[in-house]
Amino acid sequence: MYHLLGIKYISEENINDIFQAAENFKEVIHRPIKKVPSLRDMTIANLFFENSTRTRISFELAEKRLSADVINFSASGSSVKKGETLLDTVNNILAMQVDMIVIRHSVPGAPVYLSKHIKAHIINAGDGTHEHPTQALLDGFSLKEKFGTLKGLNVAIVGDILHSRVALSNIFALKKCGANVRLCGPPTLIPAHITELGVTVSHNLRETLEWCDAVNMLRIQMERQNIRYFPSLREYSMQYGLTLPLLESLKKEIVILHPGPINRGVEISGEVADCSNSIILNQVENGVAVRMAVLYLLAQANKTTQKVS
Amino acid sequence: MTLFRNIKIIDSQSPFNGQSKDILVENQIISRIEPADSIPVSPEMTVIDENGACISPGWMDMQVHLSDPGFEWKETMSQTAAAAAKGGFTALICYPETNPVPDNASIIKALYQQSKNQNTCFYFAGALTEHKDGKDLSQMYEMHTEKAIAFTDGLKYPQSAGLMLLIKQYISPFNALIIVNPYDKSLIGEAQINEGNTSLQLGMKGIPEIAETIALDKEWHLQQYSPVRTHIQPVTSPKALSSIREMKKKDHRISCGIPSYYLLLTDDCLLDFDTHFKVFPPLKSKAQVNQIIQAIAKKSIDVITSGHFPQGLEEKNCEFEVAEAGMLNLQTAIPVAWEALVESGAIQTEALIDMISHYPRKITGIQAVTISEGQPADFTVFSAETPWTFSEEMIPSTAKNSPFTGKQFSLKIIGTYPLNGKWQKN
Repeated sequence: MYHLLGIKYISEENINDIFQAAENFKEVIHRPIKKVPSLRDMTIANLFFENSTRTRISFELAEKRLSADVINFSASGSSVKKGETLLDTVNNILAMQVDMIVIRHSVPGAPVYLSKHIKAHIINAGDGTHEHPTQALLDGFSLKEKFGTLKGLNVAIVGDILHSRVALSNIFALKKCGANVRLCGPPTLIPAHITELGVTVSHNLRETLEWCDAVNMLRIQMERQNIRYFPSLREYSMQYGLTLPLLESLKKEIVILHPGPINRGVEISGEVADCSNSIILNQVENGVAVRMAVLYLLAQANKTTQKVS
Repeated sequence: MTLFRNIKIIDSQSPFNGQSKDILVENQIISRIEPADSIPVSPEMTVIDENGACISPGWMDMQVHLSDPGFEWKETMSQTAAAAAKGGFTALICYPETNPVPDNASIIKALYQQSKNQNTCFYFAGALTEHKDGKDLSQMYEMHTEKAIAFTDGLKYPQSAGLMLLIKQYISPFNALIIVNPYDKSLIGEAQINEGNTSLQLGMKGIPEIAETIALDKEWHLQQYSPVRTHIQPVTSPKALSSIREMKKKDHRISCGIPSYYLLLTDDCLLDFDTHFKVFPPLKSKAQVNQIIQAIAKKSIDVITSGHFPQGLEEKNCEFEVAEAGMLNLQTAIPVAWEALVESGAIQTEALIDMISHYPRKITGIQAVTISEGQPADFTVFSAETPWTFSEEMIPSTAKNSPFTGKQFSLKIIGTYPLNGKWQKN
């Protein structure tokens, strides 16, 4: 692994290596001195062309705990609108001898595009509706921690699948690790032919919850919806909102994940988010360990073991 | 005087079709067609004697996106002409892609003036609507009098049925040809690629096939209400093609065409966001491409074009979503079509030549050309026995946006003889 551009470009073995390393780093961040010198010779640029708080902080913390030098760059909107091309912006930063970049961008494939033109390692921190690989890895890691394995696990992903890079990366990661995946949401937010990816689809939340061992509740991506895919949040919530009465009416217990930020009362009620089956905050904690693992493994990699497809 | 020695004639309209002959051209006229190796060589003759050479009526491309004037930094008109000659084309129909948009007679006139000295026949299509913005009728009658060969808004299809009806009604008295590619914008939204496995893998919205079929049905209703000569191009949906097949049975004024790259490339090419493969309409899936080829084998498509659309480095070397659509294809169009259609066994050489020589002229009302004595010289010489590799250095344009560089082809163009022009060897 030279870059992490998406889960679709890596193997199950890569994923297991990351999980293994993440386990070690999780131990590290529970020590009194939470820092190791692994990346002290590396300079990492966090390039966020799209707003982010949690992912950016999580990456920054991971980088700092590995003793890397860190620079942060934020720009709202695409660089094209500002008159400078993405490649020019990135090359300007790389000219300052940066070894690795973490990039979030609104355009699908932007990190893949950069990987064809620059030498630095690239980590995709979310590219439009395409992929968000570290989120899928931390979700997978959290599930593995909880269940011991992902093989044969029934995982449901509920919500705005059409606009969600988290959903897509999760589908790829879970399928590669042998889990079963079911998607649930309004038909207007489920891409056509999605079953070709080896997943099942349901439009009934109760049925989906009865089926699954764990459910990943996605946020409605209002910012990506330029038309109304459903009439109101109220109607959405009536059909696809996870509430405590619904959860309690099931014959079994299920584990609840959410990539954040949570819209309490929309896709998930407050009580559910805070209940004992929710591992939402474990996800956040694991996010740092998983990102440390990815940074560490990429830094070890040699350019010869590259790359996309 | 140019002598084409022992050359095989591929021309369904020629009495010599399928035969190998000696052909002599004098003063831009095919003066003699004699048995092979029978015409004695005289000192003033240029002799063309190439292994496995074939001759066909000059190829005509019905879909070239011209860059000059307005975008000369992509491709000048001379570069377009040079690329056309290298690709075997003796005649081109240029879409109103230039700036200013040819939506009035003076621009059409200026374009013809500008193309006068090129060694390729240029024909220009005018815009259907003012500035191609799909709102008001352009000055089509006056453009028609200045020999605008057809009217089209290029790859923009006027979304209003009311406007399309006005256009059809308005042009019917002067029997003009319109070229349209029906699609329903509301079903496309901001999607840029075909709906299917590739769009799923990339997490991008896909364009469903119904975006084409629904708009085509609308176009058919309009056509029945106010019939005019209508050429549907590019049509890339197999379902739309089978509808067009039925429409053509009922109305001989309807025809259709497709750029050759849709026959060889599939949307899998987009899996690593390579902008060279970004075109509009987007590349289709392997299964759809097979259906299109089967439709061609059943003669559902009249015309194969290049769909040549130069884009500069800056337009292509960027993120996929912001990249411009289009690819260079004048030089590779027919080698690509050959590989997809003839080499694959789907159709015979003669059928391909019909689609790139006879049908385009018939549809546009340009005088037919044929390989027979006394006819004006307008032909293409090619060979299917000399494999060659296309490279970036061969591209005369500043734009280099071809996905085919480095690819080997079996069909090689030896040279062209455009109408009222001169023999140009590759």
